[in-house]
Amino acid sequence: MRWAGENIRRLQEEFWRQLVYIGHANAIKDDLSAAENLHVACALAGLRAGEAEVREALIRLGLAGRENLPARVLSQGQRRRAALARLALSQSVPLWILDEPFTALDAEATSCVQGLISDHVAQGGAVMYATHHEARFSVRAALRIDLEATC
Amino acid sequence: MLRALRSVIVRDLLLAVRRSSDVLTVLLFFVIVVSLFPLGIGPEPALLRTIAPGAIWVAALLASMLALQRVFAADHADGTLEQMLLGATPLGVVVAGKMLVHWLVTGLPLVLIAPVLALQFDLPQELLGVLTLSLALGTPVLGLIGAIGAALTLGLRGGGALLSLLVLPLYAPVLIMGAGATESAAVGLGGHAQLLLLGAFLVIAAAFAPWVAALALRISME
Amino acid sequence: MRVGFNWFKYSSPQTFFPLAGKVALAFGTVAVFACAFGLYIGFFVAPTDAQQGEAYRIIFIHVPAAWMSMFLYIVMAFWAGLGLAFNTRLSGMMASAIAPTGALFTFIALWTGSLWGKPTWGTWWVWDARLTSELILLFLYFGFMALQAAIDDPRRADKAGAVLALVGVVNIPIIYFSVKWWNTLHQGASVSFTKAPSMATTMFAGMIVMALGFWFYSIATALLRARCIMLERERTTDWAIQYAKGMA
Repeated sequence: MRWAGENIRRLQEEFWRQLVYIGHANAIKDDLSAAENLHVACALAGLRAGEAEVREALIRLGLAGRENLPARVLSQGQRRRAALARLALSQSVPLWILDEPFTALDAEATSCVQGLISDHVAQGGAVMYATHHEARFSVRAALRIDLEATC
Repeated sequence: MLRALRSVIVRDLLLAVRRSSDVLTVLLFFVIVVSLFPLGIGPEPALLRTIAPGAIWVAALLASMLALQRVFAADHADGTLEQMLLGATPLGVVVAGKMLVHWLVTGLPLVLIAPVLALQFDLPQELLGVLTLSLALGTPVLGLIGAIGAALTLGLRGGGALLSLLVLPLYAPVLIMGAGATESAAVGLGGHAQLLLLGAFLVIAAAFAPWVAALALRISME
Repeated sequence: MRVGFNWFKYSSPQTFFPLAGKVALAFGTVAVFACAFGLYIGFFVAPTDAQQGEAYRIIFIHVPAAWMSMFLYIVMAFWAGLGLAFNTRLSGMMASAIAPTGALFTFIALWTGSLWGKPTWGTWWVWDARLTSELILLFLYFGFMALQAAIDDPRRADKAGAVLALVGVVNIPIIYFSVKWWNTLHQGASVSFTKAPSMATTMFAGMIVMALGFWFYSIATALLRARCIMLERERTTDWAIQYAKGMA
């Protein structure tokens, strides 16, 4: 696998700096609040994010008023949104790889995430995601692989 | 990178404080195991005085191993470990941060309470300093070496017993030097040589163990 | 253009498998003869020891076994390290194949040491520096085998085992010197048997022959075991299926 012509195995951290991966697991610690979780995630990813920006990202994903509650008390959907809030702070990261981003999200949250994805692509980023959910985007170039298609 | 290190340390400290029962369990285990020795060997004071350093060290060893299980397991379960592997921060740095907090939270309490337990064994007061210092130098080494074992056995069945089997042979030199320091001080030879060696072990372990553990984590997470 | 003997030809299980079989057979046969000859020297030719009488003769098994136990660990760590560095399948298989034989020799060294200890020291076990570090070596072998047994994925098992073996190999000198120090500090053992004083040439010859025999035995068993591991891991490939059919 190559990124910008270089084998990713050799690039390691350089490649990962340009990647946001949000997988099936939320990577949220139950004992930390959504805000604390997001702070740590950004620090590990090398992103600079102040208090205000973190709060703003969480509010954008519909978690207003819940930023400081321990993640343990949040619902499934809220936890997923807390995990996805990272995307709001990752516009500068070129590649997004998302595994089932729309799972457990209601209509409002889904459209919010779709908005984030569209914005990112509009700014020249790339997004790769796997989903069961039908999502429509207007983009410059899209490659769709349908794993359930019958020939 | 330093920001990320600080973030990991703060994160782990917060988690430890909010789940303080984990920390206390290890400490209590240590105290109980130390108390088992007199029960098994008999209350004769001279005998207890002789075995005190060894007994306390063995208990510290076992308590360390108990705590090791949890170093990576929780992060592995909720997906945060995966994020660390894919982060922009070198994994060795992240592991080093976690190891530091691990020691602060499980090793340091043992070091602080050991003198009290040593008094139960009627260990002469002048030896308490050597004992505490040996534990202070040795418990981080145990944690660092143990982290490699914990990383290798991540997610495997057989869990604690397998981890112990892997890690105990590697602990042997630390135990020998650690208990030996107080024992030679007791016969008047002074524990300096052993303490210096423990210091050397610590320096080497601190330099290499985080990276080896990071390698082991990558192998386990593939 | 002729390249000469192509070693890399044998780095795939498919080509190595038949070679391993032939080499194992050859080395195994030599091993049987060497051990027989060595035992003959040890028990019939070598003179009676002035101090220890006949009991010392166990040295002909004990010492070569101890040499093998340490040598095999280093070889195992070497192959494991090679596999880790270059991602070659066969190196990992060799390391896994060597481990049980290494553990066996460690056990033999400990057991024969014990049998030697009883008539000479009056006790079955002594926390002598060598016996203690040999015991820890046995635990290191067991740890390696246990770790590999606990991991289902062979690639992960190879690499994890490699890390463990390498950490262990670095630790062996440390363990040995710590134990030696601990032992001398404690003045525990009342006798030191560190070397058989001024060994007669026949005794020495006997030990060397036995060592060679053990070495060839180790190579033969390791190769045979490697063959089994190869068949198991490559069981879905054509050549393995052909071989299995041929055996049936």
